[in-house]
Amino acid sequence: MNSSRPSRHRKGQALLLDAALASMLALAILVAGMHAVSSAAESARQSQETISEEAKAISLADWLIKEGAIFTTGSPYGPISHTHEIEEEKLNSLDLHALAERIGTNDVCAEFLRTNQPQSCSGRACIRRPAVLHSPMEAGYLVTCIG
Amino acid sequence: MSRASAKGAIFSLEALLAILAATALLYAASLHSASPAPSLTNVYEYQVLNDFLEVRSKAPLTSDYAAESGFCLRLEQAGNTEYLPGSCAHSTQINPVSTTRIVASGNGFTELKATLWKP
Repeated sequence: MNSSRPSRHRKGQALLLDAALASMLALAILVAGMHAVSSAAESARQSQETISEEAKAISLADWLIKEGAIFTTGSPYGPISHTHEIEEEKLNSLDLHALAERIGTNDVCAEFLRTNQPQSCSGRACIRRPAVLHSPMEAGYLVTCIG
Repeated sequence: MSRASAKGAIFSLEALLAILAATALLYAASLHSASPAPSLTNVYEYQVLNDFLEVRSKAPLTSDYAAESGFCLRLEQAGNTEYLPGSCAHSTQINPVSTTRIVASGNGFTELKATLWKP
């Protein structure tokens, strides 16, 4: 490599000034990029966890409000489900621990709140849905919490 | 790189372009990571809205009751508009969800339009 141009290298200098600056910038960009990717992956994992718990709470509330804890009557054609009409005894007699195991979580709680009644059920993801207490047909909220 | 650089310039044109491209990529990556997280809020709001209408068919909806939900509800039926709770009449509707039902009214049927939003 015998060039006719004068060399800009000083003795012992590996890189030219612009190359050194460019490599430092490239390194900084690489580090920042890696940090951005890892933080994006972490936030995606967290939001996936949150949304999974929300989905479980929503599904559980949906099941309780349409099947699990509602008032049913018999008819010649089979049982009639009165959706949104919660039977408190039915709700309280549910084995929520077994239910929690079946949906792959540690803790589940569900309760019916009458107007102005404070919520005792708590968890990482809670869902509150309008419903009616079958007897005495009082409007309230069904609360389900997961985690 | 040195061959293409002019006197006094730190970077040559191609190096500058490469840095600009890398910065743009980095900016795009940071924008992606800052994008809103996926949420089931919309599904939940539709459920709550339909729940309110279901409850309404079984028990009266009062302002106090609706206020406990933290949502605003607007019901339009036969030219009448009702806000629950009443203070929601002056609230701006941000990302509202709506549904329509055919409900029995007198001897016939009428359309009920319901809208729900977070005040």
